[in-house]
Amino acid sequence: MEKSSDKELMNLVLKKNSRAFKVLYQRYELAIFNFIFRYTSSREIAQDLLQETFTRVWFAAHLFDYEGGNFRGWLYTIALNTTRNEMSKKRYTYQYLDVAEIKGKQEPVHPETERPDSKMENLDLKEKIEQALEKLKPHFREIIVLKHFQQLKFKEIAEITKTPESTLKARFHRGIEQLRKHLDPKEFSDAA
Amino acid sequence: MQHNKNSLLKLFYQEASPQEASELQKHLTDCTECQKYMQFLNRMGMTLDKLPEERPLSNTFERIMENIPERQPRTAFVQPAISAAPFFKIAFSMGLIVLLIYFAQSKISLLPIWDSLQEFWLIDAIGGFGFMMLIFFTVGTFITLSLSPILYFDMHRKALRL
Repeated sequence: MEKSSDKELMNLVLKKNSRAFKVLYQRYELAIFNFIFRYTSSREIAQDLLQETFTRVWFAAHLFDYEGGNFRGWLYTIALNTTRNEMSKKRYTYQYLDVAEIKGKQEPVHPETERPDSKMENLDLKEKIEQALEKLKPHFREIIVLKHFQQLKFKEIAEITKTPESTLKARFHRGIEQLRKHLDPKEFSDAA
Repeated sequence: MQHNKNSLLKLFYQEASPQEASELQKHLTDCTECQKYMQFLNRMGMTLDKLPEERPLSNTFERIMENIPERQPRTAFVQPAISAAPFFKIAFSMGLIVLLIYFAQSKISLLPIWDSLQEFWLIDAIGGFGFMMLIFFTVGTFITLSLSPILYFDMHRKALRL
């Protein structure tokens, strides 16, 4: 079952096969979680929305286009809509996490990924990048996360966000310009 | 070749065709502006790549499956093909208009129309008032039945919207 394609697994999920659903979940959990996390900048929200996204996949399996549909794109569409809906409903405000807060709340879920000795340095940089991403407007953040972190093609992103490719590319350029200003103008001053 | 950031973006993310890539590489050797932009993309990419991948809780799947039986799937409210509510609204409104005309007919000149209608056999059977009620009843039903499929599909679509 692990080697089955997404469509084959979805056909089984349609028949409420939880094993197939688990395989699909394991295949995409990291990608979807990181997408939502980068978008919302909150682990708790990302955790909730990850569950919500896959719950919707379970109940909406009959709405997937089994003929010509792309499961990955469909899944990202659900994740994006779920995230956007929650963000607009609750109107989350972004808060900057300071290092002490990060240290206090960090959960070493997977010990093999614990950071090396330069933990503070890495935390500073991580915090900087996260803050810079948070400061971006949602549609800039969306395109940068989907393009750079999720490594989707512009064509796929266009289908997911229902936005023309040219608009997405323009947003991407503007988004990384904004990111440059928020990160460290000096570091990028001799480029672009 | 014109400076085209979109093309450089394709090259950076390895989405350019071999021919496009080759042309862009040639262009880059001569164009300092595009070289700077590629350097900027490289640096930005390297910086963003330093963000580590996050992991969800290890029992997330189990939590999803636990919640699924408790959560009722959203089912569509199925609008019946013939809905009573609009039918009664239309019939009631028409009935009011008929009553208005009936009581006002002495004041408005409907006599020429009434004369021609008197010759129709149904008028004899159910009377002028009954005839008008029948007309409006039929029109009201027709309008309701015409609108009902639209209402049915609209309700079904809305209820299943993600």
